[in-house]
Amino acid sequence: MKILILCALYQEAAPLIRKLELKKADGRHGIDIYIKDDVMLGIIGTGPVRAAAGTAVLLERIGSDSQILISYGSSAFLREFQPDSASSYTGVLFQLNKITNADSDRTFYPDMIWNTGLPEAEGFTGSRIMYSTDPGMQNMPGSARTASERPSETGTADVRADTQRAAVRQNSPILYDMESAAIYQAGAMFLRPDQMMFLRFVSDDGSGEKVTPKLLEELSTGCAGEAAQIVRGLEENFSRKEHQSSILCNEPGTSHGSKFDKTKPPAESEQLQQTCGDFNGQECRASLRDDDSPQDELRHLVSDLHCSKTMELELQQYLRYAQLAGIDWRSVVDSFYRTGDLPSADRVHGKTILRRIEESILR
Amino acid sequence: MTLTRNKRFSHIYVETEVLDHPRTRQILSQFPDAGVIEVDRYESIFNRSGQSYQEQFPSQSLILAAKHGTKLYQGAPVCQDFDNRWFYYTVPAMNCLYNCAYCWLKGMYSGADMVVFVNTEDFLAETEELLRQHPVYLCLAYETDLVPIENMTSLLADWSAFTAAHAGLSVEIRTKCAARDVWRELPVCDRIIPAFTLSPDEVVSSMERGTPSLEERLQAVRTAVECGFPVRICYDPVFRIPGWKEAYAWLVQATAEAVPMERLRDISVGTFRLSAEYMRNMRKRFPDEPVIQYPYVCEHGYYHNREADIRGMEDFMVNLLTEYVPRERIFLESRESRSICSERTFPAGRVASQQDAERGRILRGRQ
Repeated sequence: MKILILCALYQEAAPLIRKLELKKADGRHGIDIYIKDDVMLGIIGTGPVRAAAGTAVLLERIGSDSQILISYGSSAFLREFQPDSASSYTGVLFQLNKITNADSDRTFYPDMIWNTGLPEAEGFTGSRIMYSTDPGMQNMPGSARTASERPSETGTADVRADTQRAAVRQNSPILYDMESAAIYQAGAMFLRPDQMMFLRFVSDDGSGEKVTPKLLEELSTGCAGEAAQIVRGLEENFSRKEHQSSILCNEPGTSHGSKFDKTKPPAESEQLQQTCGDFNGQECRASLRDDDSPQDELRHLVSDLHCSKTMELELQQYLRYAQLAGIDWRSVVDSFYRTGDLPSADRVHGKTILRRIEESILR
Repeated sequence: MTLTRNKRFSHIYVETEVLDHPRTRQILSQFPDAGVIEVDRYESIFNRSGQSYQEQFPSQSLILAAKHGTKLYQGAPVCQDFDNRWFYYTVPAMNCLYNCAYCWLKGMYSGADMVVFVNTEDFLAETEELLRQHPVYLCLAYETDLVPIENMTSLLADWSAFTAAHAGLSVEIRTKCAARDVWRELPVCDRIIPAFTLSPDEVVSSMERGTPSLEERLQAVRTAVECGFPVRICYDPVFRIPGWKEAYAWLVQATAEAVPMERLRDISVGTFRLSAEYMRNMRKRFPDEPVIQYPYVCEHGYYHNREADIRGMEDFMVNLLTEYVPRERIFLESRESRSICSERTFPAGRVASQQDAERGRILRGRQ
């Protein structure tokens, strides 16, 4: 499962479920789940606590396969803070570039690496439904009103700064919801900032009007097409990347980062066994079986050299480098088996052989 | 349908404090289509945990901020100081437009976004203060390359004018950029030292991603020399790539053919070296990068080539270069520095506030 979509309410999710042709699957902990291929959508409920818990439950379930989390849902446009903004954003889908937890004042920045084509907005997340006329909102951290009402310390400069700030704000509406910051915070325990995307359509302008389930679904229906396109675009992108990666892995005798090739992107592999994952087992070894896995291969070599832990780490670094640089270390090792130097008699002799392996690789 | 990535600087984060700074306005005016996002402090985006350099770099964001606290740092004894007693460096920007595989910034910073400090006037004021005490030799581009962003920032123009007006100040501008107009437009001064890092084509194409070719860089060197700048050439780091002797012999020859060597100020030669902490970070973040996974020796808190290899590479380069320039104009990575290192530890540089405190104590092995 590569793409996880999170929605607070079924009415928000339903149009997207239809667009992406997702099918209901077994839920867990009261979270309804819909799945197709590499896309999973979960309805996690409203409010920051349920949002954080639902995010964690689903990301834990998906595990390391998850490549991106998309939070999709409704929000209020806080007109009170931006009286000069466009007359109505209702029904417009935004991507959040900045999310502030209104309760804790903490601000989070998802990486904006994908060109979704959506207008962008700043998001505020609170733990209760709020209206822009609420007294509590006047002190909301970072609000335009708060900033402009801050006592000026340096006179005219602040007026100019406020003008510039207003210009920045003009292009970035402020939206209010009850989940984004919580999803980001919970998601950050599993994912990187570039792996989280927040899409919010505007359902009202925070003036207190009633948003009915029917209206919510209607508004979501108007935005689900754009959201579905983004999901499909990401899906296509991830599968292409995976395909390229598998092609690289299957090239016999090469590795992900073969010698000084700048065109090949670094892969996520960490261990020697992973970077050596293309071993094709054709070489003839005296004591290592042809069907040895790279892990077995390393283990046998460590054993035959009588390696201490330090020697093992050293050997691992030599082989990792050799593999990446396209140096045929297996021929080097084979030659020691052929001459009878491997398996070595003891650790002292093993150290000598290790030095000779090093020299052969680094010469 | 695939989703394309945002272009570099499609998003610009601006600290509230500098929203109205003239340099902020100047920079923002060049990116009318960029999304501008207001931030309280640059650290809140630059130092986020769990960032991915690889994912961020193609869509690198720009952060405009004000630098507070100390702005000039005394160079560590382990840094190559070119015999300058009052050796300082400063950080007008952090991170780089280039994506060099071996760059220590990738071990020091957690992400790829670029920070430009717009309050140059504060940097200049601190420099002026220092100049009242003694002359200053100042490296401007230790944690970035300022030349490729000069059209955007005009940082070099300000620093150069300031340098020309202050007799006690010398500045080094280290770069891999091939832009020639920059050198034609800056005031020529014998205390403004363009320092070009040159590498063989094999290294440029495989490790110095996004940088100009050797040929383009050599043209820029020539332009700077012809303009009258005291140019430094840096063969640093020299890498022990397969066939390194041929590659570097050819590099020196190509330099000599393109550049009037007798007019160079000096030449710097060094091999790869990196603090252990940064190396640990880089090995974790770039597991498939051969130059990072090379089995360097770790001694006294930093990684380097084997001693014999270092001497072999340095001696080889010196032998080649003394055909064109006197030995006294060739500076080697100080061998003494390695013994100095034995008395030091190299702390992590994970967040900007720590980095500030640690600057000046960290061995640099960047270019």
